[in-house]
Order: sequence, then C-alpha cells, then structure tokens
Amino acid sequence: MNKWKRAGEAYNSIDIPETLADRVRLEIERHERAGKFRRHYKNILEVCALSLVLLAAGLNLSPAFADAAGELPIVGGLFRVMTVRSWHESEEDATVQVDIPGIEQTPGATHDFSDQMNQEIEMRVQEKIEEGNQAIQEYKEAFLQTGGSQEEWDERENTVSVSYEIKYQNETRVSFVIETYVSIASAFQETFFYNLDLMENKTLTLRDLLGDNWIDLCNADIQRQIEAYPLESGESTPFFDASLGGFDTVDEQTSFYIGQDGNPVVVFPRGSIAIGAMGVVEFIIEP
Amino acid sequence: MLRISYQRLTEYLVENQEKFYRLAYSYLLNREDALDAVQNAVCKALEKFQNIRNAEALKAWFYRILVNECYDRLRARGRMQFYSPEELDLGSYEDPTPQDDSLQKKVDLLPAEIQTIIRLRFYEEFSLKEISEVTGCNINTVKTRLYTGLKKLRVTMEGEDAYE
Repeated sequence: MNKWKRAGEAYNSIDIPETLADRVRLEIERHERAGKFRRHYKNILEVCALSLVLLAAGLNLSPAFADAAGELPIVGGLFRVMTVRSWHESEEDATVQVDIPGIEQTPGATHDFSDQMNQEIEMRVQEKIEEGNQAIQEYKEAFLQTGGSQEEWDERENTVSVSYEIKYQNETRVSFVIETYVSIASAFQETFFYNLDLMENKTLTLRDLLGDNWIDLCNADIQRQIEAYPLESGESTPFFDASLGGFDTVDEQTSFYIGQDGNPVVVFPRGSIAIGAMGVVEFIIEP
Repeated sequence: MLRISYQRLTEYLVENQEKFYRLAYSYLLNREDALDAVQNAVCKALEKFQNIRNAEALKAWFYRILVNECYDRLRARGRMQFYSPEELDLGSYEDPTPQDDSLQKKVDLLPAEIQTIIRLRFYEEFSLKEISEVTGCNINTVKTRLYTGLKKLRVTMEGEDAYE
C-alpha cells in the first residue's frame, strides 16, 4: 500500500474528543455576547460624538467663526492664531497627521508671552507624538508576540494626530483647544485648553470670567443642569452620585474653554463624572 | 473583492473543527493542549476576522493562526527547535529514524516547519500556493523544503521508497 495513504489513514484516525464541539461553540457564543455589548456601546458613543459635532457646528455658525478650522484674520490688529506647522506623513507603522497652532503677534507687540505659549504648545505636541509612536511600537510587539502576523499588522491603520480648534476670539482674548489622538486606545486621546488674554499677557481663569464668586456660581449651575438632564421613563441618570465620585466642585484644575457668546464652557473628561458612554461632558456657565 | 461575513466564518469554523483538532494534535500529541490550541485559534479568528479582505483566503488565513498557535505551545514546552531558513532549505537537520518506521511517526520527528508543509500537503491536500500562504514562505521555498523533507523521510511524493 502507498505509504502516504497509510500515513493519511493513521492521521485521520486521530480520535476526536467529544468536548471539541462544545469548546468551539462556547468560544463563538462568548464572542457573540461580547460583540453585542461592544456594538451597543459603540452606537451610544457615536451618538454622543455626533451631538458634540453638532454643538461645535452651532458654535461656529457666526461668520466670524466660519474659518475657525484654519486661520482667522487679525481682529483689531493685535494677534491671530494660525497653523504654524503642519505635516502629514505615512511612516512604517503609523500615519502621523499634525497641525500645530501658534500665536502670531503684529509687529511691534510684546512677544514674550506669546513666544512662551508657542514654545509650550510645541513641546507638549512633540511629547504627545513621541508617546503615541512609542505606544504603537509597544502594541505592535505585543500584537506580533500573541500570534498576529506582520501582514495583519500592516493592514491595520494606526494614526497619531494632533489638531486644534479655535473656540472664541475677540480683540484681546482667544480660546482654543488642542486634541491629540492615538488610534490604538481611547486612553491616548487628550485635550488641552488654552484661554489667553493677549492684552494682559496672561492665561485666563474662571475667576477672570465669572468673578470672585466663580466656584459657587459654577457649582450651582452644573448641579442644576445635571438635575435637569432629560431622562426617558425608567432610565436612571448617567451621572455618578457621590459614592462613585460624581460631580462635587470645580477648582483651579477644572478644564474650560470660552464659548461663542463669551461664556465659559466647563469640560469634564470622559468617565470622570458620568458613565463613559456620555463621552466628554460640557456645561455652559451663564453668569 | 468579496468580504467575508461573520456568519460564513463561524460556519467554516464549526464545519472544519475536526480537521483543526487533528492538525493541532499532530504537533502537540496531547488531547488537552490540542483542544486549547483550537479554542484559542477560534478566539483569535473571531477577534480579527475584520482584517481578512478576501473570502477565498479564509482557509489559509485560519490555518496560519492555528499553526502559529501550535508553534507557540511547542515553544513554551521547549519542544520547538530553532532552525535557520538555510538549514530548513538544505535539510540540515537530523534524520528521522525511529525504531518504528511508520511514515507518520517519522513526520513527527521533522522540524515543525517541515511537518507543517508535509501535513498540509499530504493529509489536508492543500495546494503549494495555499501552503505558501499559511507558512508565509514563497512558493519556491515551500517546494524546496518539501523536496528536502521527503528526502529525509526517504520517500517520494507517490509514497514509494526513494532510496532502495
């Protein structure tokens, strides 16, 4: 008899354990349960992201904000915020897309403060790009060590990006946010807020915008908005209570930007005062 | 190109689970290890199936995951010996000469990379192109390694003794 035929018969007579079918079915069911959860969760996040986009679009409706994504004209002749450096490159393991904003002063104006801010922005952005690239390298190693192939890795689209958005600008003040993003995990998404007064040459605080009573004013307004959050019948509030570390008080570290009407918009990171599915939570504070 | 659906994948996995188990067992020679290897490979395939662009590549794609899973287990046991690509090409590894000279047992004594080529070719009837996709080697390398592997086994493609 042909030796391969005999070997093949021996191979095909390897006993199949009864538990094999259960193990495979179990794995598929487990994956489906997890997948349903993930899909549901993703939909909620998409809705939240969409409402944030709509909010941002609303903020930018006025003609003065039509160019918010790019350059703004020098209003009142003092300064402008514009893209000072921009690059887009495809590296071996990631696509890097960066727009770094900077403040450009009119000739003759004092540059110290804006130079200092520009340097800080530059340093922070570079640091985040390095962190992002390093995270992708670490993830790549883990991916390959756990059975992922180079081809599968190459098919992934990894991104490190830095972008900014101007939220408010008048003759002397500007408010903009810088967002850094690494595609492998939401933990690598960070937002930095810049609220500057280029006449006074300083970073604006909530006190500057709301007065000495700023803490009480913010807290009362935020509490009121949390309580007024619309719920469907039977739905419980997405905001954490005190036992889960829900909203307590604003302080000097609380992030904010200046909204289109000049009022501060207080921002809480995803998952800090409400369930993660709510995304970043923002409250417009009206004095 | 036709993208694979999730349902098509799960059907494929269920229909062919016995083949997967036999292949895993042939490397690991242990029931529990082979069951674990199949289950893990199924898990990885379900997690990564969005990455597969072409439904026709499904078979080679899954076997690649499964074979790598078996290699990982052999490595963890210290049972996978390292051979350079040249050694694998030239057949510079020990002759499989067990007391019991059944061809199947001799195959078990070849380097794991050569076992893969031989099992997929003769037991699972993969084409050389499919083997090349599973192993990540080009088709000429697959041919060379198959040829030197058969020489080691002293047997031809047709199953006749090669050197008598």
